[in-house]
Order: sequence, then structure tokens, then C-alpha cells
Amino acid sequence: MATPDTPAIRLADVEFAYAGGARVVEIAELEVAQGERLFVEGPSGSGKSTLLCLVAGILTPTGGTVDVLGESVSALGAAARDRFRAEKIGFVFQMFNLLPYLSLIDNVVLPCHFSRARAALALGNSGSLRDEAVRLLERLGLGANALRGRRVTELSIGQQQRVAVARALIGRPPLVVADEPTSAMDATARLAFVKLLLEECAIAGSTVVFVSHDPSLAASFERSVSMTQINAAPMEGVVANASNISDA
Amino acid sequence: MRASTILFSLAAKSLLNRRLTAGLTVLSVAVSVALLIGVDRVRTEARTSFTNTISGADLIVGARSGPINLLLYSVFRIGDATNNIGWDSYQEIRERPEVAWTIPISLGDSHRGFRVMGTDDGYFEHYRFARGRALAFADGRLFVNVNDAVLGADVAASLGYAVGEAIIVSHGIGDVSFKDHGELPFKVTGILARTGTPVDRTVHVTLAGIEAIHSGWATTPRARESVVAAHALAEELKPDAITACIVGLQSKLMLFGLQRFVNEYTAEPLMAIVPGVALQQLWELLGAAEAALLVVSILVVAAGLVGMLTTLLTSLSERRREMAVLRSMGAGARLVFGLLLAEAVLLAAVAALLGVVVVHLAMFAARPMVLANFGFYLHAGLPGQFDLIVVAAVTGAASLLAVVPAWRAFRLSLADGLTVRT
Repeated sequence: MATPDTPAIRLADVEFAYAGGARVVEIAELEVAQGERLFVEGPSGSGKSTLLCLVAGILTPTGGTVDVLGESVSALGAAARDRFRAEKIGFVFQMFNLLPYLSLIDNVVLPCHFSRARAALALGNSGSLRDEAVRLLERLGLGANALRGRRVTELSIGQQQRVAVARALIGRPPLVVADEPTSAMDATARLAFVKLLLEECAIAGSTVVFVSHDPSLAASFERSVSMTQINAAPMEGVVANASNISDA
Repeated sequence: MRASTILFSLAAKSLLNRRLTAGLTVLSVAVSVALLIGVDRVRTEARTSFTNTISGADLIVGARSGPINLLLYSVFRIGDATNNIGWDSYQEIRERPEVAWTIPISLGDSHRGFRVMGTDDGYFEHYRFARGRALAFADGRLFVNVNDAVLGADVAASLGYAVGEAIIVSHGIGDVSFKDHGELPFKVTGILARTGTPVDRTVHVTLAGIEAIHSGWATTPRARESVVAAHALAEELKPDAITACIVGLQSKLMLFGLQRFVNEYTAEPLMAIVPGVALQQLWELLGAAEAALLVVSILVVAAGLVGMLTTLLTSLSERRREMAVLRSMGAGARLVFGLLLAEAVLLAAVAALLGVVVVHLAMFAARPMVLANFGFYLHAGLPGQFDLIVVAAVTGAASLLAVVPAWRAFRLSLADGLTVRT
């Protein structure tokens, strides 16, 4: 079990290549402390998304170890990795984070259906999962009743991204991973969004890994690393073949 | 919340979100299920109804044609007689020692689309249907006079007739006839209780009554005396021929003896059939057609399910993002597989149940039309075992077929991982 000293993320000699492809990730060492807010900067094709997939246990490294909160993710089986991800990690994507057929509230509550621990924490905070979702939405400036009745597809991009943050934070996962969450926003909205995200993660006590190709956001974070520096694999000019994962 | 609950809840909400395509898929499967159940129901109902129409009769005698033809026109009022039985021949059969009773049947006239049948008291005494039930009067009494008529339940109900009403009989069996026997109006003396057989759609008059309208007796002075008992005129209005007769025997053992006597009757070409045997021949004749219909409707169900498969497969490409989002929340690729399976099961189960409801409503609605045109009752009863089997089979087949899109979604979500394609 993780103690406060255990790093939130620890990568050692991690290598990854898609079957039959060249190496796309080669990271000798990367460590993120608990509670730290890390900004990962890098252009397209620098292996950012692959790195996130390795941390989330979607992909397993072809070499080296990935530890998240003291758990060696790279050594777990597929089902255990899915469970681990459900319990420990909240995700915010670039866009289209929400399931179009669920209500605002149901979207926010959804992770609690996959993790008992997060459901329990959310219930500890508010009387019901719904109340906790409403509370989080209010904190993120989406408190208006009128908003909650809308279909998620009718919300603006900025609003959708804030709903995604509420979903990532419900049940206070120890790690929040944001993959280019601001790339569809304009410059002022970006900064405000990053500020809000970091505040809420601080309240939840979550470690933050924020990936973006926009270096101007780095200033809001405690630490910033560049993919081009930590990733020794040759950068791909063109994205890997279509059946594989492409970098955003 | 348990995994299966969230699975079906997500599947249902996702389907509702795509309600147009999902609705059309449900509709096409529902129609195919309705067709399949409908074909089977009509088949079994027709058999039951036909079997229930005549009971306790040992032989049916008519002019020589085919057994099925004779059975259809004499008992089910379907089609027409090719020829008649001479009155003398009928008398000879009637007086045979083996014969316990006979019911003469004289057809060929109609009243506003309903067949008119000339017969005698023996009909009300000896005719049995639905495993031995006798005819009963809902209102009024037996015919006595030449111009008395007893109506089947449907005739009275659909034309709104009550006892005491006068009706005009037409020649021929069409709804609109060019030749009315207007000289001799008949008077309704009785209305029979519902039987669920062609009896309900028949106007019964005396043999003398049939003869009277055809012989022109109605224009004679005697006819103007308002009430004339039919049997008083038995000699005067003796028919030349009848269409067929139903025969009850003293003993079943005499069946083949009398049948041979009739079939070898030399004065005119006659034929005696055993109703059960003729029905069996009818089923054999229809069996191949029924099987073909059943096969076709099963294929239609299969086509409906393949349509569903197509819809699910084409939906996958636009749902890869959704899969990635679910995966990011810790949903395994197995849940993605299960989601597709759950959608297929929901679609098929809803469609099959809808099909059952539709077919039963349709049968209820089609009942009068079927009775009028085909002479049998469709009992729009509660869904039976066959319906359950069909619902289960369609749902099962759908979940088997759905393994294809589910497997594909499984593979895609493994390959895509968390990448939200834009």
C-alpha cells in the first residue's frame, strides 16, 4: 500500500513498441510525487498519449516497470489493471469526454459504478452520488438547474470539459490525468480552466499529470517536463499506422 | 450497482439515444416475429376450429366429387356443390337399418351474404360441434312453418335481426344477388346461441321453405294463408334433391358397410365420407403449404435479425469514442463486449414481445374477416407456449449473432485504448 512517501508515478527503464513497429517510448526514469502537479509538454508524435496509456495500464510496457501509487501496474493482469484504473485514476480528455446518452449527472456519477472505493468516498462526502455530482458541478460553475436538464451535447466545449473534470474528481481518485483538455478552448478560457482544475485537484488531494503541446500553460504547474527530453525513442514524423494508437 | 445492472442501463440509454435506428430495427424484427407467430396461430386455430365444427357425425353423403370438396361445402360452407343427391336416394339411405339419424342439407341460396341452408328438425336434434355440444337457442324457437327461419348468432348480430323480423332470401350466394325470392318473405322464429362454427353464419329454413321459393309455390293461393306448417306440406313441397346429408349410425361397426353401400349406389353417383378422415386428408394437402409458410416466416425472422446485426455493426465506428471513455473509467474490454451483447438482447427481446402483442391484436382485429371468408374462428387467446418459445429463440439467436459486433467492439476498444479519435 502506498505511504505518503511512495511516488504517485514511477517509471523505470520503460520501453514500448507496438507489435512489429519501432520503439515509440523509451523513458529511463520518471517520478511524480504524490500531490505534485506535473506538466508534460511535447509536440504531436512525441509519445505523450502512449505514456498516459502506460500509466493507466491500458498498455503494458515491452520493457521496464511502471509503478503507480506503489502498485506495479505493468505486472498486473488485464482485469486487475482495469480495476486499478477505475479505483485510482480520473481522466479528462481533449474533447468529447461525455457519453451523449447520459444526463449531466449520470455522466459525472458513472465512475462510481466501476469503483466501489470511489462510490464510498463520494457517498462519504454527500448523502448520495447524485448530491455529490451536483456539489462538484456547482464547484465547477455548473450549478444552474437549467444546465443540468440539458443534453450534454448541447453544452459548450468549455462546459463539457468542466463536466469531465467533475467526473474525473468524483470519489477523489489519487491521480488525475488530463490529456490535452484545453486544446479546443481559446487562450483565456484555457488559463481559467487550468486554474480551476488545479484548485479542485488540490482540494481532492489528487496528483495531477497534465499533458499538452502548449508550453504557455506550464507556468501554472509546479514542475514541467518535456517529452522530447525524457523520451529517448526517435520521434515519429508520422503517426503510427492507423490500427494503433495515434497521438493527439 | 451490479455490473449487469449498469450494463443493461447503459445499453438501454444508448439505444434510446439512437431511438430512430433502434426503433426501426425493433420494428423489422417485431414484424417478422408477428408473421411467424401469426402463421403458426392461424394454422393451429384453423385445425382446432375445423375439428370443432363437426362432431358425432359418422358419414357425410353427397354427390360424387372429392372427399375434401364435399366436406368443405357441406360442413364449412366453403365452395359449392357440384351436384345434388336425389330425394329418393336420400330416402333410401335414411331408411337403411344401420342409420340412426340423418340431417339433410340443402344449399344454394343466400341472405345478404350469409348462406341459407334448408334442413329439418333432425339438424337441431342431432348436429354436434366442439366435441359433442348440441345447438341451443339464444332466443325464440325451432322453425315450424314454411316461411320460418332460424338464424345463426352472427347473422342476427351483424344484421341486427330479432325474432319476428321478416327477411328476403336471394338465389345464389353472393352478397348482392340479382334474383330475390321476394314472393316469400321469411320470418325469424329463433336465433341460435353462438357456436364458433359456420353455423353462426347460416340462415336455417325448412326444406319445404327452400322448395317453396324455387317452385313458385309462393304465388299459389295456399301460400297466402299466413301460417302454414311445413310438415303439412311435406308432400306438396317435397324437394327433388338435396345438397348433402349428415348420417349418424346405430353403431360405428356399421360405418364401412354403409359407406360401401353409398359409394356403390347405382341409381346415381354418390359418395360417403368419414369427416375425420376427410379432415386428415385436408391437413395432409395443406401440410406442405403450411411447412413452406413456416420456413418462409423463419427466414423473415432471420432477415430481421441480420438487419439488427448490420445496425449494430455500423454503429460501432461512431461509438469508438464512447468505448474509449468507458475504458478510461476502468471499464474492461469485456464490458464493452457485454454492452453490445446487452444491446442486442434488449433490441431482440423488445422486438419479440412487441411482435407477440401485434400478432394477437391483429388476430383479434381480423377475426370477423377470417370467419366470414374462411369459416373459422381465430381465438385471440393469451400468448401461449409457442409465443414464449419464439421470444426466447429470437432473443437467443440475437445474442448469438451479436457476438460478431461485440467481438469487433472488443478488438477495437483494445486497439484504441484511451485514444479519443476526433
